[in-house]
Amino acid sequence: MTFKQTEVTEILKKLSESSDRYVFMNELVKEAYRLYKKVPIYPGIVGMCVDNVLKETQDIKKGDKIIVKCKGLFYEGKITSIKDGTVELTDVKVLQEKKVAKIKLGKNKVLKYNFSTLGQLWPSLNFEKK
Amino acid sequence: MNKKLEKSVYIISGPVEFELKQGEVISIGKKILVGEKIFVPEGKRIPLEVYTESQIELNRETKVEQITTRTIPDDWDKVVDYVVNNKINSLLVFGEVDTGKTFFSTYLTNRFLENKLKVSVLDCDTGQSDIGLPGSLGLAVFKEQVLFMSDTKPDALAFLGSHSPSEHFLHYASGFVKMVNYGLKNSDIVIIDTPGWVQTDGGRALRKTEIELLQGLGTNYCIILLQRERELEHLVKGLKKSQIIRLTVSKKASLTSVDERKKLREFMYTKYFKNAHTVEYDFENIFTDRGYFLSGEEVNQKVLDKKVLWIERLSNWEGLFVIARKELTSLEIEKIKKKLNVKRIITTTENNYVGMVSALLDENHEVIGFAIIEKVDFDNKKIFLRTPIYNKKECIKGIQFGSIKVTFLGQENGFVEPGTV
Repeated sequence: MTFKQTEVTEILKKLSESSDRYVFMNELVKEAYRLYKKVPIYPGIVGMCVDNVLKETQDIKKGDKIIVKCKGLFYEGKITSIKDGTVELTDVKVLQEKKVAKIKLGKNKVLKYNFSTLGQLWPSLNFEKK
Repeated sequence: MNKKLEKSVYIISGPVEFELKQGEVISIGKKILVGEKIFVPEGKRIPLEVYTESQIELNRETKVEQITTRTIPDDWDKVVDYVVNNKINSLLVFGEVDTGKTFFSTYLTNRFLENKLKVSVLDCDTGQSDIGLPGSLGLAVFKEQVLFMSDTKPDALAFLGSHSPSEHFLHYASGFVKMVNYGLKNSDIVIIDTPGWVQTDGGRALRKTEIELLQGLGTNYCIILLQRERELEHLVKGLKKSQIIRLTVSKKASLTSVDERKKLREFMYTKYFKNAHTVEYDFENIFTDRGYFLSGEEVNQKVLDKKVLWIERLSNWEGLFVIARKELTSLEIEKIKKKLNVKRIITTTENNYVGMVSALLDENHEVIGFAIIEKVDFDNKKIFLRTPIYNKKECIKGIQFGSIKVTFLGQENGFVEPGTV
């Protein structure tokens, strides 16, 4: 057994765990980096903070950035008003989770995940059985 | 105001100054002499063991609490005999936070001095330094008994640059070796007061490394476990029984909150820098250590954006080191890469340097003091440092960068990300 000599991995671990719970990760990743920049010598504390960035709450007000799940859609945005139980958001991102989807590609840009980068860039470090 | 003390044990709380008028009193292993004036700072408490009816004169009203038992556990006294009989020359003191490691080290120092041993204490608790500045490892060789380590001036210093060894393990290990070596050369025994980080990867790695370093240095070492239960046993598994001394934590060991710790550090900074003056150096007359700045070859930056203040070419594929007024955008970085034909750039801002606590090195790379960086003038190639050792300007040959920022008044003011200066 060896010991970790950095707690930066804690931040990665927390982000990975969060990605299982939340569909929007952009803001969380950025906040993690912002926190790291603030206290770069205490990455363990950054990891603890990351765990608390997104919390379920009823305590919302104008200006807050929130994520709401409604009728199978996830909305992320900044609150501009709250009235009669309805929030109005700005800079909104909407995401829907589906089991399957059919999309006509046409000229649409496609980004593909590559899960073999280690083997391609550093084959000597890739110990996964082929 | 006079206070009579009967044969008993008392706890006296600071801030207060008192003078022993008559009687026989011992505090933390130090014999207090009749006529001796003792100052107990704010937030500190000391025990007074009164052996004959005594009298003290206090300069102000304060809490003098009579207690029924000694604050020093009886098993602490066995350490002195064990060390003397076994010719131990280094003692590693392990304990969680707030277990009284410094109090124990002070007690032991006084008892060793009483036994005519030459003692040095290495203070590795960089977040709560008593010997030296916070963020440094300080070693003092003691000639007389003391009540507070913080009253002692260090004989040797090593710079960690951080309040915690976290992300600074190598500098911690190198400083540790340097300081232990100094202590071994200049005293019969080195007491090593370690930080309270004893669990998880970092804590285990550090404590295990300290043991390995003492083995590597060929010392006849012994480890003191100051534990409440068995919380330190994982650190000494497999070591010889004769190398471990298990002691109980004093019941009077008091808790210090995170805020109190910060205040104590700031008190140390303020005290150290209160008589600081500014000294300036031309870039060519001072070397830098633990950073990229001034480690490469200067590149004329005038061909570039006004935002860029300094560029130097680093070793081979390390590329360029660029200092800018404000953070550069990825577009600006790409522009510089293209213009200067490099693939890699490390960027930082001038603000990263201002307020940084740094160590000042002599020609042998020994730490002779500390400074706060006041300003870096890139146009005129000058660096301005605030230091209380301004009168040793000629001896200062190098500046060692750290990761802590403070205001000129000594208040903590953020961090410098390792790898960015």
